[in-house]
Amino acid sequence: MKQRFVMGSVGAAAAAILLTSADLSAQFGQAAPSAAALKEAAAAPTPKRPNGVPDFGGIWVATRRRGDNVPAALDRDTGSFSNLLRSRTGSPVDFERDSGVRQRVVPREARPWYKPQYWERVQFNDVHGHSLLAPDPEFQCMPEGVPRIGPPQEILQTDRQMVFLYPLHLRRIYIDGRPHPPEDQWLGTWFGHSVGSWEGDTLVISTVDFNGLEWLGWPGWITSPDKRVTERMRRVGNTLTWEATVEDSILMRPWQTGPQRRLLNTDPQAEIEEPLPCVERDLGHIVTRERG
Amino acid sequence: MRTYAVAIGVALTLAAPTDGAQQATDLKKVLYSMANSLGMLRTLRELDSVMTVELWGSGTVREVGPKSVGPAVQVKSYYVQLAYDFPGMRVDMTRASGEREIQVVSGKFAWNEIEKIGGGLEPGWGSAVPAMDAVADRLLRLWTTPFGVVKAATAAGERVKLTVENGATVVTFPLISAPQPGETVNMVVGELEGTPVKVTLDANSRPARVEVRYRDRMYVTSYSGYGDLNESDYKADIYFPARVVRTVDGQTVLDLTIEKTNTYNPYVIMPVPPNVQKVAGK
Repeated sequence: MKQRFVMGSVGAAAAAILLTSADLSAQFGQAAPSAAALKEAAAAPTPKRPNGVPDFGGIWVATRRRGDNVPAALDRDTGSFSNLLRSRTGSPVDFERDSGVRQRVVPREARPWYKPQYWERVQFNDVHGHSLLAPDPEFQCMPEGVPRIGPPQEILQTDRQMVFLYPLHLRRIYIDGRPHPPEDQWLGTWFGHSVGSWEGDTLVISTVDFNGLEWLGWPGWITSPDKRVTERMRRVGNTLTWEATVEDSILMRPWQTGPQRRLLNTDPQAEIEEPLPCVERDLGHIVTRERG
Repeated sequence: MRTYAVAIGVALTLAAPTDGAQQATDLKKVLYSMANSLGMLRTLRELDSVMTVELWGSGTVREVGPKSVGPAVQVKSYYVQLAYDFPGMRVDMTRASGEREIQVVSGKFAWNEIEKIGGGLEPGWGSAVPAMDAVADRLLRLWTTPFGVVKAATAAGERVKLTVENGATVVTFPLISAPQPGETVNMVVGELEGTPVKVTLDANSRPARVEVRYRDRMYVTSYSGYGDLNESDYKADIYFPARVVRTVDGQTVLDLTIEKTNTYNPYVIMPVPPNVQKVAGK
C-alpha cells in the first residue's frame, strides 16, 4: 500500500490521535506556510542561470491545504487533526465514508469531460478503484504518471536537461531544443517523453509517449496512449507555480489541473529522507468498495 | 465554498421574520436538520457534499400531456442521473415492452437521447432530439428531489418561510436562480423563477411531500422509506427515499420503487449536444 494512502487511511487517522504532546509540538513546527510567508518568498530575487533562464534548482516544499492527505497536524482553528477534516465529526469513525464522498466533489469544470463511450468505464473504475476489478494504478504502487504526480519535490537543472525528483520516481525534461522522437519510436511509458522550452521566464513542458495505463485522478479518470500533457512552471522569487493541461483523444475537451504552489527550502543543509518503498499488500484483502 | 451554516446564517441575518429571533433560530435549525438528516453535510465544516447521484428503480409512469395524462405504463428499468452542479438530470427508462426513452435536461437545455446515452456527441453514440418545451418540467423534477429542495431552499435565503401544519414542519420558498454557482449546486431554474415550493417534512426532518403549483397545475411528489440505498459494501450514510410517487392535478404520473443508489458523487456529465444548442439559439 502506498505511503500516501496510509496517511489518509482510518488506521493512520486513529494513530494520529495517539500522538504525544511532544509529537504535536513537532508537528506545529511543520505547519503550512502562511500567506505572509508565501508573499515574502515571492519577493525574493529570482535567480538566473548563466544562460539567462531562471534557475529552478532546489528542494520545493508543498504548501498544505486543509483536507489534503498530509501527515497529521493539529489544526489551530478547529482543534482537530488536518487529515481528519474531511470527517463530519473529526473522528476516524466517519473518515472513510466522508472522505470518499468529499474527494469526489469535483465541480463540473474541473472534471475531465470524457466522450460518452468512456462514461461507463469511468463510473466502473470509480466504484471499483480499490478492488481487483479496476484497481487504481497508484494504489497498486504503479507510477502516477503525468500530470497526476504533480510538481516535483526537487529539481536538478543543467543547460541540457532538468531532472525532476519525486519521492519514488524521476523524470528528465530535455531543454536543449530537441524534439520528441518520431511517433513510430515511441515506447509507451508511465511518464512519457518530455521536452521543455521557455516562454519568457515560464518553463513549458510538452510530454507525449504514454502507456495509457495511468489515471488522471483518483475517481477512475482514465487516459489513453494518445495523451499529450503541457505543463507550465514559473518561478517567482522562492515560489514555484505549476499547472498542467491534458489533451487526449478520449476527452471531449482539454482538461486542466492546478495551479499548485511550492516554496523553496532555503536551508542549504536540507536533505530529503529516503521514502518508504511502495509495496501493495492490501488489494486482495479489501472487503468493501468504500474508499476515502 | 458553500456552508449551510454560513449560507443560512446570512439568510437569517437578512430576514425580517414576524416573530423575531426565535423563528429565525428555528428556521436555521430546520434547514440544517434537512441537510444533515439526508447525510449531505460532510467535513468538520459541514459542507454540502452531495453533487451527483445515480439511482435505479422500477414502477409505473404516465405521460403528462398539456391537458391530460396518458395511461399507466410499466417501467422495468428506471435509471436516473442527478447532477446538481450542471445542473442536470438524465432519466433513462425502459418500458416493459422494451421501448427505451432517455430524457435529459442540462441547465436551460433539454433533449431526448435516441437509442443510447450519449446524445450523438460522438459518432455511433445515439442522437439528440431537442425538447426545449420540457426544460421547465425537468428542472422542476430536479429541484424537487430531496437533495434538490434543500439546495433550492438554501439558495432562496431570506425568502424561506417556516410554518407548522397538522403537527408537521412545512418549509416554503420560491425557486430562484443564484448568480454564482456553489461548489455542489448551480441554481438554474429558468422559467420556474419565483415558483413557490412547499415542503412538508417527516419526523426525521426529511422531505415527505413537495408541492408546486406551476402554470395552473399542481405537482405533488411524495417521498417515503428513506434509507442508505447504496449497495451493502458501498454505504455512504446518505439517504434517499425508497418510494417516490408524483401526481399532477391529483393523478399519479410516477410511482417508483428505488432499488439502489450511488451517492458517492459518481461521474456524471451532461454536455449539451451541438444540435440542441443550435435549436435553442433560434
